[in-house]
Amino acid sequence: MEHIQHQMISEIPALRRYARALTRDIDAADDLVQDCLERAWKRQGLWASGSNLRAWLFTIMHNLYINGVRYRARRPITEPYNIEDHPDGLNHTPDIDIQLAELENALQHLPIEQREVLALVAVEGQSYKQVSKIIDVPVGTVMSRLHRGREELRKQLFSEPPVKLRRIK
Amino acid sequence: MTKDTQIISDEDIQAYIDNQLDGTRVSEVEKAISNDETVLQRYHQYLKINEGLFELAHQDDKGNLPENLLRAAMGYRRRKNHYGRVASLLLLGGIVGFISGIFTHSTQLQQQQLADVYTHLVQPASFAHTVFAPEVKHPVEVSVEQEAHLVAWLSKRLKSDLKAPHLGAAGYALIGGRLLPSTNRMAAQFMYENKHNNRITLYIRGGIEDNQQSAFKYSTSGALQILYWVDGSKGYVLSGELDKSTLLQLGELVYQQLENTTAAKNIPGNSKVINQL
Repeated sequence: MEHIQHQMISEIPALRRYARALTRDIDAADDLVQDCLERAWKRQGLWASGSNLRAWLFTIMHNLYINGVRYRARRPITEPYNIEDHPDGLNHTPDIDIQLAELENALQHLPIEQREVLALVAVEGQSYKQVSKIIDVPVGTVMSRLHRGREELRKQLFSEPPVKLRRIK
Repeated sequence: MTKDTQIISDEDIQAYIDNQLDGTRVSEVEKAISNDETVLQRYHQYLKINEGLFELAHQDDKGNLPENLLRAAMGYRRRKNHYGRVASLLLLGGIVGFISGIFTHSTQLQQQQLADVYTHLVQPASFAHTVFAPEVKHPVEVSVEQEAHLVAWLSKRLKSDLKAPHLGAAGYALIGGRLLPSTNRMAAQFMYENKHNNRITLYIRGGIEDNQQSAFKYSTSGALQILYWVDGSKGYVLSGELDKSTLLQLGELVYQQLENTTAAKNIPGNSKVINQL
């Protein structure tokens, strides 16, 4: 029992990240996390101990989100990313030369299906196969959503000034 | 077969970044990346996007976890509306409450303790690690050159006999320590470093209650591996980005050395490790 409690606790940060990717709303995301954890405890018997707890929780969360309207944003994250609020972001990531604000903005405009797979793969490191199970679509669909989403972000972020990258002699 | 560079699609580059390609395909993509300027540029752009997405998603990770989520993770149900609760308490409380209370008391106590250990020990310790371990200029407040002073000072402030364990046997040398405010008490942090400049911290504070004395427990926070235990009323947390077996070895070293300073009978579940994933 305590063993599972510890595992659940250590999954909270990942669940919150995924929930924010889905809801784009801080409060709605935490509601979703709470419901997901409660649902998980109710169905604890269905989880095969030793199997991938995170993927199982992600599956529960995905289904809750898809079936529930109550997670629709009440307080959407629409304020632009203010670089002054995140001085650490400036100091710690000198090698990320894309602007996080731009990326966040571009991300807002992606359809939920694409944001979701990007969150699961690029942020949470889930395999394509795992994602296909979590969101219950074929692997090929996962890949095409991922590709379209990432291509869109790439075009938004890198379309204007490719000049400095082109250094062909 | 066509030329390598022509058969490498954007999907391939993405799958390479996502670590989803098998061995032969990996080398084909790597070859294309090093030979073809367009592929290389695409690769860098996707990589930057991934890094950015990761950074964005993690920017809210810091700070404490909300109490209601901790409770939900531990299997508590959400509090129902107040009147309903009072009514049901009145109805059932008298008889059933008396009987079941006897049985559930110990579980509730245990759950409460677990929440407290997490809130007052594990969370502040791992946060303190992520704040100070990457520090270039001031990782510690008092450095190892003044070890005796450091230990005496921290002991005095925490009103408890502390000891800075030596972890040389596992390749980690003490570099110093600092005094920290914890949730409602003071805490001490000792920092160690190995020859690859990997740092681990040992966080110690008092006022922690846990019935399961001395059992090693694991937790994680991002890449951070955390080992913690409670001995007497003191909580200990070892944090670092390293593999679990090394962390456990370090934990045992710490435990053994501290054990020598405390009562020898206090050695129950030393080998009991509550493993987590």
